[in-house]
Amino acid sequence: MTTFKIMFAALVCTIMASYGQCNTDPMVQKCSGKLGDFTFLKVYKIDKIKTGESVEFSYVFSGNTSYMLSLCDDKGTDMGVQVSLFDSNRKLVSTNKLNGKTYPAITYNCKSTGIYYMTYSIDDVTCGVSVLGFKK
Amino acid sequence: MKKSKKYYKLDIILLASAFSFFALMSSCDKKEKTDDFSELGKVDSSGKINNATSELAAQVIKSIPPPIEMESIILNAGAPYDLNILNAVEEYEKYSTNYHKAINLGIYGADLAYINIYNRKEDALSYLNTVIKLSDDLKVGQFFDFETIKRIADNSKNLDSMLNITTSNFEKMNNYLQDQNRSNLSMYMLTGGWVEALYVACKVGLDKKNVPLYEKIAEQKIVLDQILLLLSCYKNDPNAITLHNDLSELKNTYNKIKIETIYAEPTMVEENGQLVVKDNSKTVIDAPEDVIKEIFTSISNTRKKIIG
Repeated sequence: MTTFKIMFAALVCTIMASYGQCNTDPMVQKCSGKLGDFTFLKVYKIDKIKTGESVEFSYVFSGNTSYMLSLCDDKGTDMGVQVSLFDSNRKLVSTNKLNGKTYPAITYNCKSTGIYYMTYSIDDVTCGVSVLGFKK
Repeated sequence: MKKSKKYYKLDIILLASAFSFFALMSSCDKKEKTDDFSELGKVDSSGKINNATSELAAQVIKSIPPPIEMESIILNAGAPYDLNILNAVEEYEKYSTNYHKAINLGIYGADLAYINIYNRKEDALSYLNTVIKLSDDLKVGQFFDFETIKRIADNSKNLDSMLNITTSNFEKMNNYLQDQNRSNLSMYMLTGGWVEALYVACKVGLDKKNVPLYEKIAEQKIVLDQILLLLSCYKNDPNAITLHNDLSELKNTYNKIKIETIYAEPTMVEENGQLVVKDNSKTVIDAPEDVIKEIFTSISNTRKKIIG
């Protein structure tokens, strides 16, 4: 019975830890720094999902504007967050995982105004952050 | 066999852990059910919006561009800096309710962005001071440290870093208000900021007869839809209802604007190790000057009500 209790407690702790809160502040700082000459716009926190799940955000992108989505994760590799960008018709524009390579940022030279959707997932990290910037 | 006190303690801990675990799982389920909008707009006994509405409001808030994006194009229009088109800092004194404080915090935030793009440090500090006063009144002043921001402004050739810090602080403030179940204040701030940025863009655009600005103003049709959606989350809030009614009139004018997208597949290239995506689609915007004038009249009336 005691062994069962210990195992149950361990299971509860493990699952709770996997849903635990991340300190996203250092990641926000790092990701904002990666924007370079892009002006800061928004922060998207990817801290309430596990591997295999996804979370979606949207943003109104404006034509003739360049946007950068920088990606950071709690392991510091910046390769643990995947983003897929969809246009207003839900057509895939791009993803940061392309031809077997994972990019820590996407620059999107937008020509068509509309609402865009960013779907984020994580792989082998606990949480991550994405910062959106723009440049005219 | 009789259990010792130690074992009872362990039982209690395990029981508490199990309850916490199931409570946590249950709250996560609630958060994931964002597609069920049937409960939207309902408020609880304390006047706060319910979880589903709050979740939707948070999503919409994230989708709305901050004022700086619309205002950044003003400089390119070649318009001279004009402090008189902004809401005067002295007006701050007359905002007594949380609604007036929050919505005018949004207005002053947009004004601060305008001042920043023209690199006017003295005016920027004066507006920053007003932003801090209103933030303090709303108990969200912790996100602005005047001395730190002033030092950053003093040490920079231009106000870019100050602009980034203030935009980022507004973002943090919005997140905090949502976490504190005070998202209505966030909604007011955001609406105020958008109204002011649109007002300034219309004023400058019409003065300079600037077509790129007309197009930028026309594009706000999409943002307006998001703002109306956000306001509709607060069906029992009289201020949100008034704003919704005013902006619905503006929406009628915006219906005269035509935005068409001609789709083409995007292309992707790697530049200096970075992924660059080129949008090959095109947006065609029909924004006649007389419609822009109507938009200006409508947004001016709404702004007048807000700034008092």
